[in-house]
Amino acid sequence: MYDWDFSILWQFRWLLLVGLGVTLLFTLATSLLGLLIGTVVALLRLIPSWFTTAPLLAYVGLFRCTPVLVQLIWFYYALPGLTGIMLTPSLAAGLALSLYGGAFFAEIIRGGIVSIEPGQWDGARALGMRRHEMMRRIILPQAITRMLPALANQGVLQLKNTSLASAVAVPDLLYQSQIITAETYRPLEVYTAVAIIYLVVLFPLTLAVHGLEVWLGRDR
Amino acid sequence: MSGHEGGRTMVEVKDLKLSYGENQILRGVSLTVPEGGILAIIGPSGSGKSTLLRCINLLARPSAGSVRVGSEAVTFDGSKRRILPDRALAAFRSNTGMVFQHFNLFPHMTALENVMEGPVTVRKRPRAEAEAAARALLAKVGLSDKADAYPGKLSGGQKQRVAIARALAIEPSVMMFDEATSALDPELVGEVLAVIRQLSNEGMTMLIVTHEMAFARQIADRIIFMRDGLIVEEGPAQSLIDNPVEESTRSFLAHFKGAGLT
Ligand SMILES: Nc1ncnc2c1ncn2[C@@H]1O[C@H](COP(=O)(O)OP(=O)(O)O)[C@@H](O)[C@H]1O
Ligand SMILES: [Mg+2]
Repeated sequence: MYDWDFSILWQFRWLLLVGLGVTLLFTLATSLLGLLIGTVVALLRLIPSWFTTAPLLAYVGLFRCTPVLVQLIWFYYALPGLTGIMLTPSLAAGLALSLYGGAFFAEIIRGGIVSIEPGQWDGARALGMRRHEMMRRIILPQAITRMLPALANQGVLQLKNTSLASAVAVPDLLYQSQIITAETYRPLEVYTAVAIIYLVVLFPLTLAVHGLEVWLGRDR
Repeated sequence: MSGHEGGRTMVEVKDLKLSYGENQILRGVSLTVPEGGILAIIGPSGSGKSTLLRCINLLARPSAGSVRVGSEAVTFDGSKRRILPDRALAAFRSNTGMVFQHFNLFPHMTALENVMEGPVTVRKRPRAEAEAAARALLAKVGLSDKADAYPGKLSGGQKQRVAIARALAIEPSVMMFDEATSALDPELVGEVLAVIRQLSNEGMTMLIVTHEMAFARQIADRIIFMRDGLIVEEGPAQSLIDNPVEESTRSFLAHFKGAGLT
């Protein structure tokens, strides 16, 4: 029988806390950048021209259909060799995770936009709205309500994916737990604790998103 | 009801053509509506009535012909370039108010916000001023008590009256109705027609696509009968309904006479 002993973790509490901080910061930064990339890509994809569509499809395809771990390693190890640009681990991982997230966000946002009935576009145009006014006032507010579950889902994945940044020595939660494991030889306790920390952060978040959905759908 | 005729021409459509792929939807349509005039457009489903209205506010793009509303005109040359820059396109569209068969209200806004949207976003009016005007318009269509209701909570007739108020709010020079009562339960048709009738009394220039023959005969100055993308017959409202000249007009109207609707 394995003899569980979580008490050894207490001395590493600050290390875990710092790791959690890095994980959250990374999630926030790559989600925001990913959302920005995704929004721009989604809006550009609405232009009915192959000059814009083809490169955007290539970008989305490339990042959606290759493993994010490979992208991370590629940005850190291969990019310097090809371009001479040397990225810090955090920058390489941040860039890869943002572009990876951006590809998924782009599809979610585009899907949300094109799901809005043609009648809404007609109604806005007939009033004399300009493109950006129609997007901002009519299309996006409705699309965001519909996209929210998928966006939140992607945000959750984004947080869990930051754990892959440990592969290029970004000191996130998982990286710290590897260090603690190396010192304590207690991988089961360490990784169980880490799993619980992820759960404690993410589960309330998913509940909050659900509450937001209900609130946005009120009165309709 | 032809007392308004003879004023300056408010809408002028010349030789309008439009195809979707191989299908010719409009095959050379011309019409004029004088200021304060009311033109009704009738015809079987698929004859191009909606497309014609959508060309007049540039929601659809003709391949040839021209459209003039008030003092603004656009000629179509069949090229792939955009008709007008975004700003000019929007400005052109704001000359007309359009009411759709399926209302197309903005579901994330209350009735009041729907009506305020054009004045605030398009006309850049101050909110307080826009709200006062919107409340007056809702009162005019009999919906003062529904100002804070979301479209999802309104009946079809109420939705369509909000949609009319929304279109009126941008102070268009022409109102266009595309089968405004076709999606309504029969008992709700009357309240919408009453609003349109009120606008006619105020001298609003209107193009009305409708299947309500009795209403068209009564309210319109002239009526156009369309079939297969062409105007088959045009004439004063009462004579076109009562004594159509063309055989196809007669057989179309026979459906309605049979149902006792005229
Ligand atoms: N966006 C479109 N793409 C292809 N065909 C269309 C489109 N809009 C309308 N049509 C076709 O054009 C014809 C005329 O349609 P419409 O103007 O809606 O007729 P009506 O309003 O008289 O019923 C129909 O055959 C319809 O299928
Ligand atoms: Mg139609």
